[in-house]
Formats: sequence, structure tokens, C-alpha cells
Amino acid sequence: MKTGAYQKVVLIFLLVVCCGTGYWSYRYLARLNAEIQETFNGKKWDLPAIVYARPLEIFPSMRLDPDLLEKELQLADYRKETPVAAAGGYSRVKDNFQIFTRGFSFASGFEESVVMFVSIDGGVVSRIRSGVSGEELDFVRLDPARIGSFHPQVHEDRLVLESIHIPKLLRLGLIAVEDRAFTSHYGVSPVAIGRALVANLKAGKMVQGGSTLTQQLVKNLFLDHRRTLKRKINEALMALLLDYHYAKDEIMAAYINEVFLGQDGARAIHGFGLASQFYFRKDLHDLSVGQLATLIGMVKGATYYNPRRHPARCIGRRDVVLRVLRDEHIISEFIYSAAVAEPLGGDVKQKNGFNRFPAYLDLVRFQLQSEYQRDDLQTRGLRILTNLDPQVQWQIEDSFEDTLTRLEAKRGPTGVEGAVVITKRETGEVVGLLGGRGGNASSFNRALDASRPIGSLIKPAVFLTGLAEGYTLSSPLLDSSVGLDKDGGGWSPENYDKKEHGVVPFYIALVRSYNLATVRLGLDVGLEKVIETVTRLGFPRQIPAYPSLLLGAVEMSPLEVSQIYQTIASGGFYLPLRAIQSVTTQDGELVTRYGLEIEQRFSPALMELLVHVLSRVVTEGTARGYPFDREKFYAGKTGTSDGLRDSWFAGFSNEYSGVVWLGRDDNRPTPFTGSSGALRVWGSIMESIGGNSSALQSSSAGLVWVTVDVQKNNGTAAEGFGLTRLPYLRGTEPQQLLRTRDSGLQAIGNKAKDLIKSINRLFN
Amino acid sequence: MAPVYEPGQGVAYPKPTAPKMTVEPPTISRDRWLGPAAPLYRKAKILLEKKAYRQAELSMERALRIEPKNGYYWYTLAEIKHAERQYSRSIQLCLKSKSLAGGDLNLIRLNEQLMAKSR
Repeated sequence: MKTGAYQKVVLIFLLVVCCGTGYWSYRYLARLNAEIQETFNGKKWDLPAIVYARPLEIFPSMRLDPDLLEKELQLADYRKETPVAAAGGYSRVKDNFQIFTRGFSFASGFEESVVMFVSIDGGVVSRIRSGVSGEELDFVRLDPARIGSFHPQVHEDRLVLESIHIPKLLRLGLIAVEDRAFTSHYGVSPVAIGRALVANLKAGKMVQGGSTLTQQLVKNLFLDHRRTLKRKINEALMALLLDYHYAKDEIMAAYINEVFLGQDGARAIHGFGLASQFYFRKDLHDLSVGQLATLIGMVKGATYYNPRRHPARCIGRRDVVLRVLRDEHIISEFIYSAAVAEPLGGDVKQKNGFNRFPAYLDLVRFQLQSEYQRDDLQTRGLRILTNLDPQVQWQIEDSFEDTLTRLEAKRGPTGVEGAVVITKRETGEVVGLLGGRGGNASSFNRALDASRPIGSLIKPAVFLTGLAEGYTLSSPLLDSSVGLDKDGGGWSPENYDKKEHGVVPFYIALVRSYNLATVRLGLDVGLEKVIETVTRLGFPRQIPAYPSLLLGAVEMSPLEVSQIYQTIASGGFYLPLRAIQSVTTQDGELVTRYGLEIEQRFSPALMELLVHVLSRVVTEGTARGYPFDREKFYAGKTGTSDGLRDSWFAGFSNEYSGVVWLGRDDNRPTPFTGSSGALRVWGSIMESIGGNSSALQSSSAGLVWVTVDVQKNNGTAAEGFGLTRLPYLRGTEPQQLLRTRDSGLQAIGNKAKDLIKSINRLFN
Repeated sequence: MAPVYEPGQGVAYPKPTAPKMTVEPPTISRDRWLGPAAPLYRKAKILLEKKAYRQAELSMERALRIEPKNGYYWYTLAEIKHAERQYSRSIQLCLKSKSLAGGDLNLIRLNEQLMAKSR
């Protein structure tokens, strides 16, 4: 081949290579460009839904423990300071508080921040005054504590700040410390790279980075952290493209929201907005110069300069930043001197409420999952306002642990686990929930997921069916052995004390939890009717119609039991148990509200009869062993499953309804009956959460109260329940002396009725 | 004292004392029904007049969290639902209000009237 021809071929080859490379480079850059624009124009970050506790409402005459108020303020990331300088601050002198709330978007709209003085006297709010005008306030609502969030797999968390909300000092500080040529370079700074190269060569190791803020942002948003040439080239190309397409302000805002600034357990703290809350409990705008410099310093190494773990190191780094700010004339000498003299500041050792109540969060997630996709909860930044009352929750946790520890001190370790559900009696709001021992550390949430036989907790449903079928509280029931034929499975129930008590009044059979009388009553009214009652009370699943269900051989979770007792406690009105008040977008727009849904399923008067009997379970029945304050109202039922495998108590006070379960995860026997175990925990919780001002309940107009001598009236055999006062549905009070379907007793009743009639005729 | 019947006699006569723990419950006093949540109740009434139903409802739900046994508050919520033409819900709330009325004939009458309008 001639030389000229050879050169031609080489030239063509080179041309082809160049064109190919150019085309490939063009395609490659176009792909990077598309990736940048897609991410940067759209949603840059997955924002987890944020879950809040219920907002605390404060009003004069309200019962409020000042220590719990302070604890709740700290849970809500309020900082203690004197004087109270900005939103999110409070001070306390004895039981007088000054509180500067933060604005918050409720379902009803945005509520502005307010300053107020709250005085508490003897555990009661005596006065609330405006901190601005001094006028008396009759109602205030605090912004709620953030108690958790629903993260995607990557546990990143951030509070996204708009560009206009970023403090100027932060921008200037970041530029001065991290990237002095930020405003003039094109995304990459050859000068900075050269300077870093020289410094690193001199030191013989990596002492300085040459990346601009734009490159750091690109690395965090688009690339991994591998130190490869390809990654470095991509970083530089994407930084150039980013700088070409977007204003410096936008890049700076993205950087400020993206940068990693620490770790809170499994949650990564991203962005200055969240870091400010996390480390100092303040909005970014409220940080001092020293605190802002601390955060800027942490960009170099959030773990290495962590103010909680390495305060001395962190202060050193902060002072370097402050020197740079002074030298660059961003702050004055005076401000510099004041800032370096500052302590680190913030209640850095306090723990906030982040994912502090995982069992309750399970319930929130459970109730949301039917309406929201997982993606909605993990990426859209929704705000979920719940009904969790932190003050009740703490009382539950403390009472539960204390009581079980006390019980085990007598018996030794029992391996017993437990669950608690507490709701508001009239509104069905779940205000506290415990899924197990040890502060909900286990992933197994027994309140929701442990399905266990409920024992005698079923009995109120049996007796309610009896009342609906015409029994009265003084109707005689026969408590004697009942042998069931083959269809009944050859089942021979017994009483707990192995005795038979003969004819007993209806209410006594429930108060003393007599199994035999209950089974006879249940068989008399019919299993299907009992099952229907349980369903109407709120149990959602099917129950097989075996006679053993009359003694609670049906499995339920504590939450399901709670729903059933809620219907009893609220006077026959079914209210779906609610963990959530509302869901709003991050801009405060209402997405869903979970208002009061109510449906009457039983006559309130009928239910009042049952409630009366359940109150006597506490005063004179199976729960009388607990030293309740007799001036207050409590009602409920003990439950124990076969072989002491489950210890239950379900009931209510004036204000709260609650269920406690104790048992072992391996289903082995426990040392506890319902009375010696769960009742102790329930009583302790109910007494500690209070809200129970009177022993008296309002009475339905459909009832009449009659003093009766039950023993004489009914010819009952058992001792100790003669004269008593009982409510009756109007018209069912004991005109007719015996009300039973037992044929023998019915005959006695008919005879007595005839006798009354004949005596009446004599007098008339 | 309510009558007591003895078997075989059919004649009522009073017994001297009733056991302590089975006292009849009281009825709601008509002149004391506005409690600590009264400001929220008043706000709800104003919002109802302005036909701002959702806001009124939210205000009443707040009031009910504080005074859940106040039959008048349940009634007001029923009024709001009625105004929103959610009649079946209004009736349910009336039933709840009525269940808390005790001997308050005024509240019972109000609820019965509203239920009649909602049917």
C-alpha cells in the first residue's frame, strides 16, 4: 500500500473514532443531563410522612401535672431558656410556665405562634395569660410533639427549606468555609483542585478536598461514594451541567437541604433545617451565630465533629469556622468574641420523641394502610396528627413496668409479656398503647398481633344478650353443672372454685363470674344470639358456634377486645377505635380527616344495666381485691383462660376505657389469674392517668331504681346478696317476681305471681 | 324512696337505707351544662351560622374531647351534620346526645325534634 493511501485510511479511521467518540460523548452527556434535570426539576427527596402526637389543649380548671407538662414540652423539642427568646422555647419557675409555641398546620388551618404564661396550682391550671397583651386566655393549643416518621428503606430524614427561608449567614458561611469561588466557578474549580493537589502532595496524604459545593451536591444526589476515576469524571461533568442549568441560589438551597449532618439511631439527619431541630431544638432562624457555625463545621465530618459525642472536638471546629467568618468580614470582631465564648448550647443530651412509641406507630400504620399506598407514606411528606396522649402513654409504661416488677418480686421472674390499649371512653380515640415489656423494644406488637383466648371477658356479651331477651338484673339463674351432649362436644364446664352455687340472681352470676350460670344463660338465649351480640359490639371476625365460646374460648387481640368494651363503655354506641385525627400535606392542606363516627347498636338503657353490673364486679366481685378509690367510678371484667395461660382485665373509668393482657409468648401457664395479674396492672394504670372525678354516672331516663331483697324475692340459695338497689328498664321492675326460663323456677314464679294477684284482689 | 316489693305481698313499702355503692346516678343540671370547653362550643355555633361546617365540626370535636359527656355538645354536632344534610349521622349523634341527657327534658326534646326533621 502506498504511503498516501495508508495515511488516508488512518485519517478515515481517526475520523470515525473521533465521530464515534463524539457521538458516544454526546449521548453520555445527554443522559447525565436528563438525569440531572429530571431529579432537580422534580421531587429531589423522598419525604417520609411525619407522625405527631395529639396537640395538648390547655384551659383554666384543667388537671395538669406540671412535671408532665414539662416532659411533654421537651418531647416536643421545646428548649428550656431564660428569657424565652423565640418560638419553641419555655421557662419554668415552680409551677408557672412561660411558653412560646410554634405555628402549626392543623386540620382547621394554620395556627400562629403565641407566647403565654400558664400557672398551675395544686395540679390544676389556674390561669393562662397572653405573653403579649397580658389578657386572660380561655383556651390554648400547643403544637404537637413529633413522635415518628415512616421512612423508606434508606432512613433519610430532612426538613426541606425553601431558598427564601435560608439565613444569609448560613449561605455566606458555607461559601467562606467550603467553597470560596462558589459564586464565580462553573461547578468545578480547577484552582481549588490544584490547591488541594499541592496540599495533599506536601502532606503525603489526603488533607484537603478540591470539590466545590456543587460537586458535593452532585455526589450526594446522584452518585455513590466510591473513589473511582469514572465517578470523579461523572461528578465533574454533572457539576458543570448543574451549574449551567440552574441558578446558584437553587444549587445552594439544594445543598443545604441535602447535606448529611448526623445520625439518630437508624435515621440519617439530612439538611440544616432538621439538624437545627435535632441538635438545638430550634428553627434555623433562631440559632445563635455559634450554633450556626457548629453546624457549618459539621459538614466536614458529621460523625467526627458530633457535638454530643465529641463536644471538645466540635467546639474546636466551630471556632475555626468562626475565625474564617471573622477574617472574611462576615461577622464582626465583637460577635466573634461573643460566639467563641458560647457553650455548645442546646439540650444536647435530651432525647426527643422520635420513634419513641413504636407500638403506637404500628397502629397508625395499620389504620393508614387501607387508604394509603406505602409510597405515599414514605415519600410525600404527609403530616399525620394522631390521638396519642404522651402523658397517658408514659403513665401506661411506668405503671405496667412497676406493677409487673412488683408482682415478680413475690414470685420471681415469670417470663410474662403483656399488652395494653387505652382509649377515650366516649370518643374511641386510642390515647396509649403498649405492645410488650421493655418500652416496646420487641418487634412483636402484642396489642395488635397477639390473638389469645379471652376467657370470662366474653361474659358481658352473654349477659347483655340475656338482658336483651328479657332477663332483669334480679332474674334467678341456676348455677349448677351442665352436661352437654355429643353435639355440644361432650363438654363439662366447671366454676373456678369447682362448686355449684344453686339459684343466683342474674347480676351476681356476672359479678362473681359463675361459669355454670353463664353457660346455662347462654344456652337459653342461644349461641347464635350471643355471637350476634359479640359482632354488634364490634368484633369483626366470624365465631364458630360452640358452647365453649360462652366461657371465652374465642381468640382476640387486645385491640379487638378494646373495641368490644368501647361499645359497652360508650353506652351501646359503636365507635371505630381511632389512632389518627387527620392527614395533611406538608403545605398544610387537609388530605383526610378522621372525625367522630358513631352508630347506636344497643339501647343505652340496656347497656346501663350491664355497666352497673360491671361496676359491681369492681366493688364486690372478682375485681374487688384491687384497692380502688371507692369515691371514683370503675367498671370491668376479669378474664382468665384455661390453665392460667392468659390473664385479662377489660373495663373503664369515667374517662378512659382500657384492656390489659398478660401472658407468655410460648403460651405456657403464667402464675396469674385475671384478678391477680392483669387487674393489678389495669388498676395501677387507671389510677395514674386519672380523669375520673366522680363515682356517679349519668342515668338514662329509661331506668328505674328499686331496692330489692333479691334473696327473698327470688328464693335464691346463695348467701350474701339480700338487700340491694338495682336499676331496671322502666316497666320491668319486679312486679313479676321470678324471671327465668328454667321450667322449675318459672313455675315458682307463676305461683308467686298468682299469689300477688289474689292478695291484690283481696285489698281491692 | 322507690317502692320495694316483697314476694307474696305485692305491697310496696320503704326500706330504711340503700347500700352505699348502688346510688342512683344524677341527672345533668340544665343550668350547668356549659363547661370548660364552652369557648370552643361558642366558636362552633358562630361557624355554624356562617355555614363553615367543617370548621364548626372540628371545633365541636375539640370540645367533645374535653367534655365528652356533655349531651349539648353532641347535640350541636348533630345540628352541624343536619346542616350538612348528613341526616343519618345527625340522627346517630342525637341518639348519643339523648343517651347522655338523663332527666334533662329540654335536651331530650331538642334531640327528638332534630331527629324528626332528619327522618
